[in-house]
Amino acid sequence: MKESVIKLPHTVTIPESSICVQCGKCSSGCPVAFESEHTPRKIIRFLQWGCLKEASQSPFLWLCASCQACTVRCPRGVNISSIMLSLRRIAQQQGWVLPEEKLSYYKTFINMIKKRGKISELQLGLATALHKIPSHPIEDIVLFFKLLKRGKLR
Amino acid sequence: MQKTIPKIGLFIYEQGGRLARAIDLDAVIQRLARIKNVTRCEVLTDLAAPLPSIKEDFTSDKFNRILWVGKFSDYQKKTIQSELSSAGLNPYMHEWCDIEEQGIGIDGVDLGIQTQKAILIIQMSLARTRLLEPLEPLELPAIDAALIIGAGVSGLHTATSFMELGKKVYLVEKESGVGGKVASLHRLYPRICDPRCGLEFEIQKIRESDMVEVHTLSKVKSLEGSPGNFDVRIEKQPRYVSEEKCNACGECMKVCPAVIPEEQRSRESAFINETSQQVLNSLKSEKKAIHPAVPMPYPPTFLIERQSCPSECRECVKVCPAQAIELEQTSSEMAFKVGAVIVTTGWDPYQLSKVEEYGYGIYPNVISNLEMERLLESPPAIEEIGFIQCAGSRDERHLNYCSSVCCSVALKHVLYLKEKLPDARCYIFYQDIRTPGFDEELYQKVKSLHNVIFIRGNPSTVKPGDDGKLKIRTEDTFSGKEIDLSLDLLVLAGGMMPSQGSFEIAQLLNLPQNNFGFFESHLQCHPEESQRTGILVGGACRGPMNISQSIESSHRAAMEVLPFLNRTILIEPKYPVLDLTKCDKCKRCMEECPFLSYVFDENGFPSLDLTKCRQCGNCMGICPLIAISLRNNTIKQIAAQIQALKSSFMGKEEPVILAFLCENDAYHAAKSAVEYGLPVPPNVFFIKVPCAGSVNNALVADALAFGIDGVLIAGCKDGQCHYVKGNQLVKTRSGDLSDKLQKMMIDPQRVRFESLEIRDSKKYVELVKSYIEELRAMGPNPFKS
Repeated sequence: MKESVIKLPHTVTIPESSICVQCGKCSSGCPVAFESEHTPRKIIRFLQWGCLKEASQSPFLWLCASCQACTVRCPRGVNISSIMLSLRRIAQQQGWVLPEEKLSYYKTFINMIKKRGKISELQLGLATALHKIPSHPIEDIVLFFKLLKRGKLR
Repeated sequence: MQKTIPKIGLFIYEQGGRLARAIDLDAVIQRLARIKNVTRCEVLTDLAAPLPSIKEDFTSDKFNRILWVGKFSDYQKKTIQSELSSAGLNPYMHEWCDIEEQGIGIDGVDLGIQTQKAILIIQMSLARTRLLEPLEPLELPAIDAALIIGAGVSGLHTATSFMELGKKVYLVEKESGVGGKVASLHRLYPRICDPRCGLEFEIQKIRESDMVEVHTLSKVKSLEGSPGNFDVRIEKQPRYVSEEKCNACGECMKVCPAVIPEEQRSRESAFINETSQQVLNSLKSEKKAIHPAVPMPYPPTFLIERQSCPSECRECVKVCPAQAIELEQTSSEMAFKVGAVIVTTGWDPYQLSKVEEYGYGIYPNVISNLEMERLLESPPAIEEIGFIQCAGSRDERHLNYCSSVCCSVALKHVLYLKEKLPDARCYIFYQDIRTPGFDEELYQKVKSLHNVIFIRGNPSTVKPGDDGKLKIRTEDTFSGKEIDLSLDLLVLAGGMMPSQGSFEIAQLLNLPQNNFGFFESHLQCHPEESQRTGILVGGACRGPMNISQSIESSHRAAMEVLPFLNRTILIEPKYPVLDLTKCDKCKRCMEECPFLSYVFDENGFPSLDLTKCRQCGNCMGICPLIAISLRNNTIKQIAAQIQALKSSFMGKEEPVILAFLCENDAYHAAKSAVEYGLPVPPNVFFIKVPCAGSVNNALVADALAFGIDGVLIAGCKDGQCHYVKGNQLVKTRSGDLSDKLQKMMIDPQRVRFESLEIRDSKKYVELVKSYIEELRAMGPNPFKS
């Protein structure tokens, strides 16, 4: 949200987000909450305003690991994980998705499963790293060797 | 009861010619004078002058009951009744009929129709008047003693109030001493006073009085009988010390070898560091196996926790100067009679170990707000303290309500902590700060303190730091940024739930509870209610509240209970009577009574407890054999009123509706509709009933069989009925009613159930109008003559 003034649309708020009291417990427990400018609570806040587009365009959606820490602890019973997944779908459908490069990991993952029915971590890692070149291949190579040493790549 | 021939005196009170403008009064008088049983019929323009002649006629037996038609003020009614009762006329032998409240006098209605309607309304009242009986209130002997269950702040204050009114009190408490949860608090805001001071003030009064019997280590075992005459049995656990001899000198404690550690908190060594060890030490309170009563040392007798005694140890016996130790004591029972019961069983703190993410019970330096009270007596030297509000409250996974006091309590803790540890840093994690009324001042005071930081954000988990501190991470929702903190102590604001004792009493006395386990009451009007006559509820067992609210709440209960604490109880003669010759023991009356006022008698018939009965008439409404009648509103009387209504008075095509209106809400809506001059159609006649639930299906079927086109039953809205659920009971019977009507070849659509609130006059008019339209479309009732 680059503007400082929110223009609330005339549409009614999305009911699944209305019960949220904005306590922040979801953000507090989220492992990736502070990696982007948005936290899960903020995403729900966008929905409370009816700003579906802003919510779906948030980079946070793609960081969500579906770990369920938010959903399990929410005192009002808001199903935050499934809201994130729904927003991803909406973003795809509406063409509000961010540039290709951020989606490369997901696309590679899905294509691999479609083709082979399983994931080879080595190939997945290589394919994603290649997509990122020339952005940060060096960190990835260091990480690659660390994982290989610990037997995490098959 | 001898059958007396009814002789009715009929007086129409006409002031200023109002009635004569709306109806043909002469025609009415002529018609009425010819009616059977009417021995005197005239129009009065004044009440004072004719009164002596009316008295004269009564005493000479010209009539033995009077129907008054017209509008009378309450003063006029009372004067007439008292004048005639001095001549011997029972007040229940007067019938009052206000034809204007049924719509006579409304603009725009044909004079002929109004006149006919007026005659029918009066004939309906005459039908009822013929069947009036002289009724006397009942006097039943009662006991002016009260049982108070729970000797916390509510129980103690209520006991002293009763004592000051000269009523005997049995105060039963399950702990060894009085005081409850309030006695375990440290200081109260705003006077920074010790809560035991106020409690001791009440205890002192009890100590000096003969009227209050305090039974500790006791629980109620059974409660039988009825309001005014309850039989209570309590079970007392043994104290092992004589209440008569022990003078609390304390010599026994000095020699007792057995120490009982009070707290069994987790001692996982991984999480013990210097700070958490200090916290544990602050919370530790040991007592010997023989010790004074807890929480407060009243009754002053010591007690022994026998299971902690080393075997064969007799140290206390040897040393007691008064020889008060009685190790052979066993549990005993006591029985007594009381007039009423007040339940003040209080609250218990919610088990914070269930809120797993905060590590209560795992990390020693995570404590509850109740434990913080003890810690504040001598707090360890700590620097960083966090307070998490709404821990397990306002949470659908735990307590789904707000405990109303925790915000003020946390702020109070911060205030006192800063007095003792001025350099401490306090962090308050909250969702909302709820400090109603004058506690706002507390909030502002704390907010302005140095090194106190309010963070609006709920932490998700508590993790152990390497140095034994607690790591908290939360989103500060105001800035949207992450906050990471390392704290020495974390105080969780746990909520209040109904006490274990409350649940036990609810089971034992069959008291309804709401979704959260608190006693179900009739909130705004009667928060002390329990839906069981003679048993009232006060204090925190009714809902989360602070100390002054608890005291107010229990005094409300005490006020309502006072009528039962007299030597005699007066019962109005409007109670239901069951005709045993008709009863087939189906016990539907027992099941539907909202106050469980019926019990089985020795022959298996339902027997009504007159003191429990609230005289709502729901039993009269449900009985499938119409065996039950309210004494002043019998089935025969209502049936006679129905038969007097000639439904074709406006012609066969014009529908006529008979409405049963509950006297709490619907009746007032209809009455005020007329008073406000709303266009109430002349097609509707109403009969006032105590509760919509008192309308029996047989009467509805009767009305339709006599040719009335439509029946309307209007009661209160769901949840608003003063007799709990009368309005719902009548609707659930509609299934039976439809079957019955269909067998009689009557369209079940000719019965309508509606909810009206007390000022719903417009709604009343609209629904009558729409009903008339529906009935016109259906066509006239085939039984209409």
